[in-house]
Amino acid sequence: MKEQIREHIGAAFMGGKGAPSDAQPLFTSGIIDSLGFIRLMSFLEKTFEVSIDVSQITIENFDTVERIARVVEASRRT
Amino acid sequence: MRGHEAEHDELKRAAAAFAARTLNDDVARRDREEDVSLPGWKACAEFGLQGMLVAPEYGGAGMDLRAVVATLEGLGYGCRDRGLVSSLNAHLWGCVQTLNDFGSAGQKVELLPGLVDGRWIGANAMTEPESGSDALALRTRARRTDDGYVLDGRKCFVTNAPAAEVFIVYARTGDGPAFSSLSCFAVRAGTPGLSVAPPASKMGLRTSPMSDVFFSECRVPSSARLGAEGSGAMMLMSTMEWERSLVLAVAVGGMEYQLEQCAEQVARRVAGNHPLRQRQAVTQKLAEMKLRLEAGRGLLYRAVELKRAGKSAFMESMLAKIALSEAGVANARDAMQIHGGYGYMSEAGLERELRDALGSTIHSGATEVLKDAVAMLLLAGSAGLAGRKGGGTA
Repeated sequence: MKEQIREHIGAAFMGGKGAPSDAQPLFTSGIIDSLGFIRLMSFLEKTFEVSIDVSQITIENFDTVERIARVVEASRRT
Repeated sequence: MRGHEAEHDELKRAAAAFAARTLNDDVARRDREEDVSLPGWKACAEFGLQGMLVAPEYGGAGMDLRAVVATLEGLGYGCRDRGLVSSLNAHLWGCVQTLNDFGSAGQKVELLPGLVDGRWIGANAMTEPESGSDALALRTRARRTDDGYVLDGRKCFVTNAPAAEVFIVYARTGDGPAFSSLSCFAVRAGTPGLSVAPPASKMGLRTSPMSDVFFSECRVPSSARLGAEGSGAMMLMSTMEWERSLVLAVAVGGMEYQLEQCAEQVARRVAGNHPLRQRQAVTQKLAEMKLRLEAGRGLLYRAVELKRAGKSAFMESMLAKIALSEAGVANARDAMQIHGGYGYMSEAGLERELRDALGSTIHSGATEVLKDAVAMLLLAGSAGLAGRKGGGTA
């Protein structure tokens, strides 16, 4: 799952030139902006068939590949 | 979502009957004089409208979204005071739902009961002179102190501000990219440093008070912050998604009523020895009004079903908002035209409906900005392009 997320972010938001590391800031660095957030959420919901609780939607939870994967995994379990 | 279930139909009928019986007194004069109906507000609270979305432990009814939509459609059908309804929408989507989603247990206990029982009115202070639909460009600052924050800035076009007790305020707490530098606060009226300008005079929705709000060294405790610092933009987008999805559910009911009135007019009116019902130029307007109404309703229901499923509905909420706001204006325009000279008279109420509808293509995201955002999402999705930077449209 983490690799799918990493690959998607690299292709969608980094011009296909590489992909983010596990801990690379995504929103706080400006790699992903507000429209990017919408696209990312759509990708996560459709790809992993999850609904992410609004309480989990924070900058902290979505700023790295590692943390996004953790949120998606937790959403799958609920 | 194919129509409402029987119980939802009953909710819709009940809301329509309540509104027609209770909320329409003297609406023409109140519109002329920009007279806000606090008794109407209280009546709405007693009926349960302010508490539809709120859990019972905070005094609400915790209704399912389909039931909320049915109720709002009924309210729109029966209520001729669109200003009151506009204030209710701002309260629900800009304040109550934000607290529902992001408030701590303590914040919910402190704020929701008063917002539900009619004592308090909520407002959403987001727009600024330099940032409207491009909300992330806001400049109001919240500087961190040892025990809280100090807010400085100005918000404009704040619906309910002159009467609000609870302001949901978005401010910049960081200097990084906009999307990760905003935070959200719940600020009470009367907090030193918070001041509200006199009500502004508007073209329509004149029974809904609106003014600017100023923050000058306004100190708030850390406990006033909603959610995590820096997550304000995400919260704002969530709020806008709710608002754009549902703010015009009332317009669906309003357009239903309007169309019925127009159909009756066309069926009965004879002008110059010719029944209006035999004039295609007039009857086609009825069909066009129906098309716009049902297309907007479909998009509303689609957005609502996504929200019910806990899914994001950003595209769908924008489409619903665009469709219903533009439909509301076009239908109000047609309604006036169908009624001819009488439609132009203030007494008919149709010109007021048009004035009220015109604001909806601007608030909650102007049509042009929303269409731009829809197009950007489509372009990025279809070509697999990297997300475009800048233009932080919430």
